[in-house]
Amino acid sequence: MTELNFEHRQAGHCESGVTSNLLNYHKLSLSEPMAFGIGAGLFFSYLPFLKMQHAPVTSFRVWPGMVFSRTTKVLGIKTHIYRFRDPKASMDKLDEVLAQGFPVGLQVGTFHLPFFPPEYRMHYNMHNMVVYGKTDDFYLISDTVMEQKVRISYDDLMRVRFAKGAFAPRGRMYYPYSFPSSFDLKHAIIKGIRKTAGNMVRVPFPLIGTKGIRYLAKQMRQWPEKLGEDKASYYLGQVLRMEEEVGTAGAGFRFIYGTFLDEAGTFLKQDWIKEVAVEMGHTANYWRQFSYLGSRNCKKRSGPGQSFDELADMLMECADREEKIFRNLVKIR
Amino acid sequence: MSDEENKELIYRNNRELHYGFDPEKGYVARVDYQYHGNQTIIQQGWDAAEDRLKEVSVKISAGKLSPLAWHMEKNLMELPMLSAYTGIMKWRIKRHLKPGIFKKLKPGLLGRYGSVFNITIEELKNPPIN
Repeated sequence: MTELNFEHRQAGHCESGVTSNLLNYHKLSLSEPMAFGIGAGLFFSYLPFLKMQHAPVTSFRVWPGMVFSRTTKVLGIKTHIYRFRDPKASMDKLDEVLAQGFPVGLQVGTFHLPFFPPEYRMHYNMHNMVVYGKTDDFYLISDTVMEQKVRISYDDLMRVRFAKGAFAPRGRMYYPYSFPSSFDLKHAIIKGIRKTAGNMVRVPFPLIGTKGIRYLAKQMRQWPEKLGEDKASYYLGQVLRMEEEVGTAGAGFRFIYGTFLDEAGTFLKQDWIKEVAVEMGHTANYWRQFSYLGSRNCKKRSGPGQSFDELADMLMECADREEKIFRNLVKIR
Repeated sequence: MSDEENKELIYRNNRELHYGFDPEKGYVARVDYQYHGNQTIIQQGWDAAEDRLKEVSVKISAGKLSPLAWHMEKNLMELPMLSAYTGIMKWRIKRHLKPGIFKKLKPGLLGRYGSVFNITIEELKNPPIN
């Protein structure tokens, strides 16, 4: 039996929360928004040719795994990241690392996650949680979504680690094991901001960043006519679920990113970043308003809600505001 | 959250951490249930799944689909995912969705489906359709 002295802290987003909590265990205190910002977690992409749960994929974040790897890399922290073919081997390796005294981050699917709130048990394979110990029958889990620490049986854990489908975790496990004596947080913050800003306004591809938001807005206008009311509202609901549902900390990560900018401005002693953070906060509230009005269209058997044209206008406004914000941030030195 | 809005909450299983921005106070974080707007869109996802399940049930009763289709929908699985879980090729699963072919399947194959859905072969053959 192993039980590490791991502090469970809830977080808005699973991967940045796991990253922050893992570092915290090793006495490196980095807030969740800091981990998210340094790991350049904010993003936007709209991928109409990819369907998930019967609707096009919209994403407000970067690929799974990037927040952890970028944050640790830029801070000079050494990590091990493993994937497995054989489920049994993945569990043996987990036991071995736990016995060495390291809490371990795991990527898992949520459909078979027994302790998860039932309303979230969909086939979502990009969830992250920490294993911090093991008893005879159970693994001890810190999941940033949950209020309390939880536990899971061997069989259940193996099952969620080898969930199938899009972004299958393939037993992915990761943990930091070696820390430099000092690191340059200033450099890390600036690098993270520049990366995100670049992703949002400098990628010459129409489905990415602020261009992607505008593309989605244009498509959205045509949905009712092209798809009919029912499907249009389902597609809209899918965008909103990606924006607001569990793990985004609200408004498609915009709140958590603004919190990061606010902390970054304080740390770097650059007041203009704090001003941009306020801008980001208002924009995040606007995204929230968009999802609030949009959600009325998603209510069953309700009359006509917000028109898709108006919602698309709001998206355009979001894109304009974010373009301004990130064109500003990209100049950071 | 106002009391009236709180009454509308559907899901009260777990409180989460939410970040927010207050124009007066700046950035704030609090632990609470999802606010009712978000709960609406979560419910929409499940309602849509339920509707799809009903559609499939009708088709099964009419003899157009095999019971396998019901379990796929119940588990929110589409062809590629079921294929990945069972290791059965997609075109074969497609055949098994036809009632006539499903009826003739051997216990071995049925067992593979059953273990993925975590049910017995009997349950696999007889989904609870009214």
